[in-house]
Amino acid sequence: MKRRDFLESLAIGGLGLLVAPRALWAEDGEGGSALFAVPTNTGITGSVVVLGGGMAGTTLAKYLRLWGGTGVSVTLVEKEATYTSNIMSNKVLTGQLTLPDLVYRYDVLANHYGVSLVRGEVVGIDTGARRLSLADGSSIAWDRLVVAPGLEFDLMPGMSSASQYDTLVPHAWKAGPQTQLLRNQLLALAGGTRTGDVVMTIPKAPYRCPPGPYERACVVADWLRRNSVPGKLIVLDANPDIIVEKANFAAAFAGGSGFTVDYRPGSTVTRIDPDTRTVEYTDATGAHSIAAGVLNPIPPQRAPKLLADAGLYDPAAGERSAPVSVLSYESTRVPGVHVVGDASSTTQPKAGHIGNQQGKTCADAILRALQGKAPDPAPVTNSACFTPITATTATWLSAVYQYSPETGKMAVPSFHNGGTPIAATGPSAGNYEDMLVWFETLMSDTFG
Amino acid sequence: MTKLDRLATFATLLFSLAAIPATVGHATASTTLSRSIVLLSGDGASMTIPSAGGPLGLTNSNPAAVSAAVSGTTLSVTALAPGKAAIVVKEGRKTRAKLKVTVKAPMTVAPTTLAVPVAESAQARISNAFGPVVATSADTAVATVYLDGESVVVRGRAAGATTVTVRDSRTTVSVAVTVSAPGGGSGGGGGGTVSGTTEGRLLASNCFQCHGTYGSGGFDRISGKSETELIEELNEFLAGGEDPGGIMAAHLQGYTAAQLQAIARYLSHP
Ligand SMILES: Cc1cc2nc3c(=O)[nH]c(=O)nc-3n(C[C@H](O)[C@H](O)[C@H](O)COP(=O)(O)OP(=O)(O)OC[C@H]3O[C@@H](n4cnc5c(N)ncnc54)[C@H](O)[C@@H]3O)c2cc1C
Ligand code: HEC
Repeated sequence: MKRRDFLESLAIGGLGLLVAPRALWAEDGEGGSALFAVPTNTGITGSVVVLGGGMAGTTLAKYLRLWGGTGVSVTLVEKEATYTSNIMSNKVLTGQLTLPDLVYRYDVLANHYGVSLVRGEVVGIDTGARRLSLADGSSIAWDRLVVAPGLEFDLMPGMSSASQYDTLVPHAWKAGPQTQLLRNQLLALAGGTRTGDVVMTIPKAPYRCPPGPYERACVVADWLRRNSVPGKLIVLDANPDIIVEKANFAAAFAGGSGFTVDYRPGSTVTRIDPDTRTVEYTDATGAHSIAAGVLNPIPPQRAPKLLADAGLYDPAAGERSAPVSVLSYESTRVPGVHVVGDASSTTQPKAGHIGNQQGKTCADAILRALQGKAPDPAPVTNSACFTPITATTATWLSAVYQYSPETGKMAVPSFHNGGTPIAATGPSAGNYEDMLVWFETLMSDTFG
Repeated sequence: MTKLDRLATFATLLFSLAAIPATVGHATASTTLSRSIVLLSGDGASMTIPSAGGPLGLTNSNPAAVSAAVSGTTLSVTALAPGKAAIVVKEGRKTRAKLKVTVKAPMTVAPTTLAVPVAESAQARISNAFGPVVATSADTAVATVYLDGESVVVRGRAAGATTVTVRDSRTTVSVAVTVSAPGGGSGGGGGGTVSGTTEGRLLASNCFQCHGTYGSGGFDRISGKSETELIEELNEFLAGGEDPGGIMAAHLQGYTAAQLQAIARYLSHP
């Protein structure tokens, strides 16, 4: 029996039972989406290898099959058995969700959509031989490759090893064990086994999820207040000001939602000591130092080194992610290799909702290329970030990006709020409800 | 281990996970297992409940749709009729598992007769598909067929009659197809002609993050309405008459009128 036969018999025969991954227990039955058939004869044939099953890579793999049909074989190489969503992970810090609530599986992708899964960590991309090498010594050849591995994290000045993030000063900017560690450290503060303020640092933009750090500041400060935890939340932002949704976050920081945040813009971290949780920084007034109770440095981020080694971006030229054509997400450096999601360098935010749309845009372009056609000349993408402010309220930020033939870039068009994103008029409980529906639907458009 | 061996092991693992929800997740006695499953009437499923050994009790929000029973640490459910049920298993006051069961009706295809001129296309809508759907034409010289979203698209090749068979993992439905000679006729009518192209699809996929794949759910189902009805609804948002200041109205600011028309046209028959 060939493997493909096996997978198909699974889905058809199986026990007639599909387990849909769902993170949230939606009482009202809203949210989510249905399963759709993989068409049998679109006339398109080809094969695509996808590196990384996150928000962008998983969407891309699903839509290549859904739109391309059974003639397009798709292999997804992913190092983890399951995906843990970064989106909503700030709610793990406040105990409203647990990490297992944020786990998504690849079952539907494999069993229903017929994507071949390879579990393994890619350690090399040989663009000459067109082969991926895996940590276990095996390799996978590709005709067309899509790279969607997300981001890696720099060491903060003063740190000696990335393992210090895992044990002492979690960044928790990738949901997982560090998220739990940060939660435990906050609980230690509440329990009195640690004392001091919570200090969070924000790197210079661009970083993953522009509103994310401000969201974290709000929900953690709200939690500190609700639980009467001694100590305040100090935010050291390397940016000169709040970079998105300024009105909403500034109002919340100033006490508009019941808590306050000590927000210090224009603060450049010069050194951290993970053992003593001391952070040194400079701002317009000079050099300062804080010994924190809990230290949460959000480090600068870049596409994995693997991509630089493959020539997909050039660190020597100051690049931190891979330049692509936003018509097809094909690398401008290596033909036949596409980069989607956070690892690509575009004018769009590094976020999951838009990573999903980049995956669809890239899938469409690849399917056209397999038919000898040019990509859609006028792609549109959109970003939506719902942001919890307290345990019961949220805001949102929405933007649509259109392709500009003049600049070759994606841009918010002038007819969309004068070329800028649109924010909610303020935090509300209705937005919070909508946030849960949005999250479940986004995740089921991606993993379901 | 060769690559193929590894693939096989992975597939076996998936098989056991998909077949036995019991092993899904890393439940320990301290966590609550939350799962959703989709069943057809008559199907059964069971899962092991993480418990500390005390007696387990359950509540079932919809006994008409699903019957549920717990024996020892095993929860068994049987799908009775289409609908949704939430089963909550408790050990004393501690919630041990939440299972959301959706019971689906069998797949239907409408209409089951199609008339289409040569070189044009007609479509029938598939509802409630379960597992992969395969559509085949008994005579591909007369008509060819492919699936696009929720539609089975039939393209006339030569005058004559044939049968298109649509099959999901449980149900088979036949569609009688008559292909008429090219040239005449007004187009429209019947099952509705479609371009059979991908026009508007990528644009409309911007709606799927909030309205589900192919517009199938999320905040509201938006597929399957007529193009006119959709445009009216979108214009209502744009004019501030529907949820002004909401994210839907904000989202629509980013499109040109022509783009919204293409999206509405696509969503009327995805
Ligand atoms: C706290 C927080 C809140 C956020 N909130 C939002 C929000 O509200 N809205 C929003 O849109 N976005 C949000 N984001 C951002 C969002 O999570 C990311 O932008 C998104 O996950 C990026 O998708 P991606 O596919 O590029 O990468 P990822 O989702 O990180 O996926 C990359 C995948 O590749 C795999 N991988 C990596 N390297 C290898 C390798 N060498 N071999 C094999 N596999 C590999 C990884 O295991 C992973 O599964 C948030 C992020 C954070 C941290
Ligand atoms: C960021 C999330 C989001 C995106 C993206 C989005 N919508 Fe919506 N949509 C909503 C919400 C929320 C509502 C409910 C608004 C209300 O009823 O107040 C809605 C409602 C609607 C409705 C009204 C449905 C009904 O039955 O009343 C239509 C039609 C609609 N959307 C079409 C679209 C189209 C077309 C697109 C893509 C161009 C789209 N939406 C993209 C969030 C979104």
